[in-house]
Amino acid sequence: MTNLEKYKRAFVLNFRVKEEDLPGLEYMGIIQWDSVGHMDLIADIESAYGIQMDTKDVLDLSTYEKGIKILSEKYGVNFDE
Amino acid sequence: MITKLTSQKTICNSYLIEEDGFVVIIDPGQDGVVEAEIDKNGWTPELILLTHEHFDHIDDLEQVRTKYNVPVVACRICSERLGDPKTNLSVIADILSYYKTGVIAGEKSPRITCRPAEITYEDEHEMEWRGHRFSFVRIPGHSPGSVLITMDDEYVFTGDYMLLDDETTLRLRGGDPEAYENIAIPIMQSIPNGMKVCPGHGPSYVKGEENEPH
Repeated sequence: MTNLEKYKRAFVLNFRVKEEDLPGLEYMGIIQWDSVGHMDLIADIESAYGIQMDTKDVLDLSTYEKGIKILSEKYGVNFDE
Repeated sequence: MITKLTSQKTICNSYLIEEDGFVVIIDPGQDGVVEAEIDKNGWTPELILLTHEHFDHIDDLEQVRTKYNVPVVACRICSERLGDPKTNLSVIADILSYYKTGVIAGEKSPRITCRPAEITYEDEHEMEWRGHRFSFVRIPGHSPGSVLITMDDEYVFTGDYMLLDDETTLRLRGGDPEAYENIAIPIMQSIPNGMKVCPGHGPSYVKGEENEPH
């Protein structure tokens, strides 16, 4: 599974959304992505990449796209593989 | 004598029950508050009782049980979930702490892994300690390993249930709204008025004398 597939999977499984709905998805944009859903999402992302994110980054991860940017720039996750 | 201690990280309550210089610890909590109180008074811990497996209630568990060499009592499911940061929720400790306090922690919280309890039970258990009688009943809903601990039919230690100023969260991992409805609520309703309720967060109160909690 590629890093991008792992990332998408975290969203799809936690929020029960389709892959095609992921672009543009944002925190509080759907009922499932509230504070509790966010914690579950982060737990799965951290587990998928073996990282522990800073709380500031956890809070900044407020859209699907921002997550990719944060993970690639700050945690070295390669989404181009 | 019962001493209530509150750690500041997640505003979590621990309780010490003291009898002739010996104590039972209910939820070791965080921030070293239990250890500090025990050492200040020169008490000797004899048992640790757990209301459930979540990190804010067990952050200091390994430190306390090792330092004083005391056995831990927990239901089997709670015991099994102590060792996994995903099930004890320490993986989300920092963000949960932020949501509760509005403050970003200066340091990342460690992932907590605790050993299983020395004494386990399934859904119900009873034990005596220095003239006191403890009853345990598993009450899933908030977490699979949650229990209510009753002492002498006078006090009930409720963990994350029956909070006076907050709702019991059912959406954290392991939460089960159906179990809460079908198992937890009837158990909580069966607690007689007049019992002193000692929750894991917020103030203690006497059942029936305060506004009904969430």
